[in-house]
Amino acid sequence: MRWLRADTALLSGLAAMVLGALLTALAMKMLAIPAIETIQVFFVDPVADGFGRRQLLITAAPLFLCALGLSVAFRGGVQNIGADGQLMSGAICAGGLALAHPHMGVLLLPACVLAAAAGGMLWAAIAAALRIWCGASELLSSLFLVYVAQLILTALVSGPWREPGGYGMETGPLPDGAMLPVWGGLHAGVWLLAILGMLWWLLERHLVMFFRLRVLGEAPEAARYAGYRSDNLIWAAMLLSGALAGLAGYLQIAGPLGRLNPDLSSGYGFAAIVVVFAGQLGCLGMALTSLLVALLRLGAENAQIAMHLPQSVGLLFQGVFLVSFLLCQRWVPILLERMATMTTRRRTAHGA
Amino acid sequence: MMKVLLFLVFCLPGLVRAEPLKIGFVYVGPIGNAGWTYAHDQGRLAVERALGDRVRTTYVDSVHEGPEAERIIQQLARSGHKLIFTTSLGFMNPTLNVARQFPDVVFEHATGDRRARNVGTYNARFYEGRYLTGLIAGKMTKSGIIGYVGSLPVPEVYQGLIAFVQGLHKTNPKATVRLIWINSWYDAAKEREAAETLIALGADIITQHTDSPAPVQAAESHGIYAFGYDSDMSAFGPKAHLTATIEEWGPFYTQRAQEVMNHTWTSRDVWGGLASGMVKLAPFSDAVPQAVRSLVDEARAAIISGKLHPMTGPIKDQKGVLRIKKDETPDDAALKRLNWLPQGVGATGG
Repeated sequence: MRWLRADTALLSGLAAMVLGALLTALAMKMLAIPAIETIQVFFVDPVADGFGRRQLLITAAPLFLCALGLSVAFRGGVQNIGADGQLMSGAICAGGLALAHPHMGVLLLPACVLAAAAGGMLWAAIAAALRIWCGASELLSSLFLVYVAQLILTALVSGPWREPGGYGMETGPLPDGAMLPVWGGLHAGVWLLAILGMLWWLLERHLVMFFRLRVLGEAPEAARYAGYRSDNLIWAAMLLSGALAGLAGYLQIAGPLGRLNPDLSSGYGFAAIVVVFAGQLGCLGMALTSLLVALLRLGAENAQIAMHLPQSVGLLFQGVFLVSFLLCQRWVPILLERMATMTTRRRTAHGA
Repeated sequence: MMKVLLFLVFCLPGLVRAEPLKIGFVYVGPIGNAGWTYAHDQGRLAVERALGDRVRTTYVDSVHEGPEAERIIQQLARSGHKLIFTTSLGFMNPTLNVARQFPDVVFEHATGDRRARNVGTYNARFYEGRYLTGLIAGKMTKSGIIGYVGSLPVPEVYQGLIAFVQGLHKTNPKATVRLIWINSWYDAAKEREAAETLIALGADIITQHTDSPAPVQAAESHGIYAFGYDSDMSAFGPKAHLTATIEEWGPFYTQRAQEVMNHTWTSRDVWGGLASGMVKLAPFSDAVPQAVRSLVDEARAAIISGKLHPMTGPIKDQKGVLRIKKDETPDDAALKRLNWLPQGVGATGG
């Protein structure tokens, strides 16, 4: 897929916001929902106080983390849409380690972080291996592996890992040593992700692997001529995106959830795909889009409570924004090119 | 004197017209599912009808039991709701966590067993209704195979299975149950598929512990019988639907709301059944013969009077181990720990 230049991407992002706003206003008119109140309840009220703003960051963090890894993969034409399964796999490995060795002391947290990354990498490796050794589309295999991961997770938390004495489908609380420390109302994952995001933004253009993946994705023949080993690049893309998705899974269980249960992924692996495609600017765009997607989720919940709007309306808005982003990314560059061509023609005509 | 008059003029209206009690409901499924969540929402509407403008209810539906559950319960507590019903087992820990932060808000958690000073629990003895439908199934099956669309392997579902098989074997000792777990409370597509599979395996009556009317619809399209669940699903299968185990939450919700308004609420574990009217059977369809209806009425009266407990031993599990001894009945604590399938349930799939 073609990636846009920064200024084009910015314009298309702005156009998408405008288009999205217009379409949602139209939808609200058709559904007879008061527009101003809805906008306030969706976009303003959830972040009106400190608590809401903290919730926004905590909700956006796993999205952003997944999206970073996925952007690398998609850039290389590696269609890893199974990040949700890799997220669950990371959570299973980290959670399992924490539950099995609660008294590891200071080593527990770093060990869990490594286990989460390893779990995500392992799950992504299955899809990568199927692609490289069997030619199977990683899009399909990574997607189907999501269902496998979900079943394994459900089986574990309602069977051997179920809370002793409990009868629900969840583990007991994770030991304190495995929980992320909370600084200023936000768990450590959010702070570290902010730092990671900044590093990523600085280093994005300088990392050779990222460049090679871009070439592979946009011009596979050129990559071949340049001697890039596409197999190695595919491994790298899948393992990196898997590792980051696994870490996002750890953020979920060691942050707001505090245990494992079948719903721990909250569909973040799939929502991250939306973030990647909508945040075409790269790191900064994805950070902003993660916040937007998180805000839409919080807004939908708030709309249910404050305005008694059904949950489907929130989903409708999310869908409308995604479609707007995709449409604008497709058509804004074409429109800009047309406008540029027309301007050049006019200038040449006058000049001649 | 003037001051007293002024006080009365300004304060009395406020004293008389108290702030309406804001009640929040957290649902795990959509309210239109004709199942579990639909029944709770009917209860919410009953509260509104009973208490009028003394209450204002809010609901949030389709809440997953993940991190967002706690966020939503917290949001309800923060926005002035003083009584919050959380209607799924998986909301237990989020409810307890939020209850700790909001000691002046009352929480009622359905199907849970952990309480706190401001957290009560409640449930309904669906298994009593299941026993009655088991009696009917035993009498009306021709193939001797009943299809059971199961949801998740939690005690409530096992209670239903054991009671159903007890009723089934009372009227038809040779009948068996084929069970499929769909690993979800509500997934119309999976429920339909499971029902179709069970029908292909020879089941001629379908029953379910899931939240959509899809199994009833499957039965209707194959011309066989079915029992609905949580609500009267006869609209979805007029010929197939024999009856359904349904629950009525309205009176319980109204009572709790009144207790909160009068400041007489205390944390309790309420587990109502046929006797208290929390559990009922939907009206019988015309296909149920009079003899069977009388049998069911007798059993129902026996359960209500306490003479009959649907899970009276001896009951063996699938492996043949005796789990409930002869003439013994499990107490409430044991019921909440059930995690085995009774003999009579064939190979399970799913």
